[in-house]
Amino acid sequence: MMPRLGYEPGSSVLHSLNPITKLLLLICTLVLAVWVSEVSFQLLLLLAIILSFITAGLGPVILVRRARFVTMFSLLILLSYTFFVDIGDVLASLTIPIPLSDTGLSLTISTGGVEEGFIVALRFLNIILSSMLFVRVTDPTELAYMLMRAGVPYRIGFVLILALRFVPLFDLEFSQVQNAQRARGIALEGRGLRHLYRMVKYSFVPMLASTLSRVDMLSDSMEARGFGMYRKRTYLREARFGALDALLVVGLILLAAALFLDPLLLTNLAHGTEQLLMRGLGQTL
Amino acid sequence: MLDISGLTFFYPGQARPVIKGLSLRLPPGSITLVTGRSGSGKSTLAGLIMGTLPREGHEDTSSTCKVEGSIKVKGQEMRGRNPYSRAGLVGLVSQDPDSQLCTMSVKDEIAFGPENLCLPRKKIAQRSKWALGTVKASNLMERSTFSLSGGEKQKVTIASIMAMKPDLLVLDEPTASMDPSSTMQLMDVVERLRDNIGTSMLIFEHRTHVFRSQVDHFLELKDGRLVRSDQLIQDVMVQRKGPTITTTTKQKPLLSIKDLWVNREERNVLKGVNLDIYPGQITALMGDNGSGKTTLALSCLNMIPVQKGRVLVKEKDAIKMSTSKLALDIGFVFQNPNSQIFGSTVEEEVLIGPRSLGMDMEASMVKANELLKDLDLHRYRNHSPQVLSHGEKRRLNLASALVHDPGILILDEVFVGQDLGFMESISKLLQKQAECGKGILLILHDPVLARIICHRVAFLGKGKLLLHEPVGQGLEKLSKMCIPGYSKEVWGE
Repeated sequence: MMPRLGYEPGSSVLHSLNPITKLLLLICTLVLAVWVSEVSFQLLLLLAIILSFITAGLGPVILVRRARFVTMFSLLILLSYTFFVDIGDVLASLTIPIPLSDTGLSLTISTGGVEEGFIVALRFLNIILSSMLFVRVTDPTELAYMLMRAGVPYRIGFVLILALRFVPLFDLEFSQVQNAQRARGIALEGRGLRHLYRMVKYSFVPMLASTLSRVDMLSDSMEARGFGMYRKRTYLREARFGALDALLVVGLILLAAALFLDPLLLTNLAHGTEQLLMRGLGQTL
Repeated sequence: MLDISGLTFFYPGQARPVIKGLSLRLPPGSITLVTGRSGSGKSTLAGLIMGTLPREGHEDTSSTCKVEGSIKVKGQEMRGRNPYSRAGLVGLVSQDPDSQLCTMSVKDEIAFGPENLCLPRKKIAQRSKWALGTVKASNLMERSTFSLSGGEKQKVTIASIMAMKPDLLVLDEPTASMDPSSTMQLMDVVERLRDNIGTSMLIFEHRTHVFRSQVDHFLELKDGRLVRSDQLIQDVMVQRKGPTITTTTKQKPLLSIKDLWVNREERNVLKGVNLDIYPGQITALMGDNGSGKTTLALSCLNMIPVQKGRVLVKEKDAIKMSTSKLALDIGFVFQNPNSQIFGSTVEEEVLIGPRSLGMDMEASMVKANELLKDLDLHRYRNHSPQVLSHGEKRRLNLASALVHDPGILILDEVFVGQDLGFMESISKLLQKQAECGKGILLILHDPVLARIICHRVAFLGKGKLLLHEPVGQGLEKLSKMCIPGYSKEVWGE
């Protein structure tokens, strides 16, 4: 029972990048998704994320299956903004009669509402999908080791590794606790606060006892192998940092510097791209 | 190699020491086995050697613990040193390998110790390769720790300690939850480490016969001191005859499993198993770890979905009944004692079953006290069950499963952590239950115990029932089938 936490092993370019490069790319994507309020930019970002999914071997089927809920939620956001936010020119308005009400429910579709709806919905989609992509192409153990190699204190790094190691065991133990309750005639179904209290008590006590016993044994085992002997430690795992990693990190640094000098750089770029696209579309038509 | 002199240890607030002026001298490259009754101080002694007792900063400076005497490894005084500063001198292997592995790949696990010693990368790689070679497990290097069997996990644990190149290895009940084939692998490892590397080993073990051909000295921890022990558990046990069968298969079975197929995690765990448990019979359910024993037991209480087949409990279809209802007829003890203790006192714990099943509480109270007395737990009845030792918790689990007088008992590894005395009391209790007409399915790994307690033996191999016969004939067949750990030398009279 190997804990995957969503990680899908693979040999794509994204898989082969150093986890820290991937983390920096994710942070950059999240910052841009929150910062730039342009529909065209958010659309371009979404396109880039979808292309990355496909390049990583996580084809449209996986994307559609996994992102179904997120997409539905984004549509809901778009509809809410479209019908309930009234900014800019009015495109259409309608009134839904409500029994026992003189005025009814008035809905206005405005240019600003639609635009805001698109921005917020796409922003939400971009944040969730980019995080999902990061989780699917990054081995969490590798990430923990690389963070430690990059200077994160090893005691903190091992918290992540131990969590990954023990979460599946606790999961298994919880099902054992539930089985043991049933085997003693304790009905898990029922209602009321008293039942809830009993269930929490009967689950919490054995889980806590089991966890403490494991923690005790584990800390003895780790200390007996010298954990904590020195402030720093060495690692068998090599820090893979290829040319592409270097290129991407330099690119990210340049982007950050450019944005520092001209905060509207991306907004203007998005505008320019939008106008070019519209002109091209107009000429084609 | 290890030189202990005048060692005395008091737990906080206790007037009597657990360890009392203990002295021990282990020559280099020797294997010494220490046995002793439950609570005799074996784990305390292991903790003192490893430095996990008393904890850093507590020694002699507060009211927590009191220690006197000296513990030297290779001439270096261990007292006052942190556990991690003893790494490289002593290593610990305990009974649950799952709680000792801290990473997700074998490679990371073996490298863990040398990394903590700040060795350079090249040296870590060399040490890792060498360490896995010492336990004959080089083939496991690229595996995930989640995919290993029990025996493989214990090998990896030992290799990860060997990578620190310790002079002394302390093994605390290392075979407690292992099947005979994994136990044999471990015995082989122990022998190799002594003969090829010259590692000294101190083994704390109840089942003394397991290591009888490897051990140089047998000692018993008694009244806080070590005394010579020449009596192996097996020597005591093999003199006993097994029980005679008092029932015939003409009676209706209490539990009947018919053509049972179970899939778990997309794998066929049980493949058409047929098994009947009759009143008055104790059946040993044996087989390697992962052969499907626990799955079979869980199916009887309808705890996991069944693909095909039937389970009849007193002629009722168990698959159509809820587990809580089946609990009236089946008393069940799971492997992990901690995951089945819910009460805040020992007495309350035993009475949870009868209360949930709506039974007469007065009569249950009487029965509970009887069982607690039989299993030497009565003096703890008002204590929290969490303060009990592993072996005591197992006996408490047994009392909790028996108290409502179910007709069928399914007991998974109840003998783990029990000394010879308690093995005998549990055996007697189970035989008494069988004489009262109960059907007992006893999951266990020790063929010696199977021979002296059980009437029949059922053996599972890769999800198939390979045999189900009277115990003598069954063990004889297993011996002829050359299944590791079941040779007649191990269990024979």
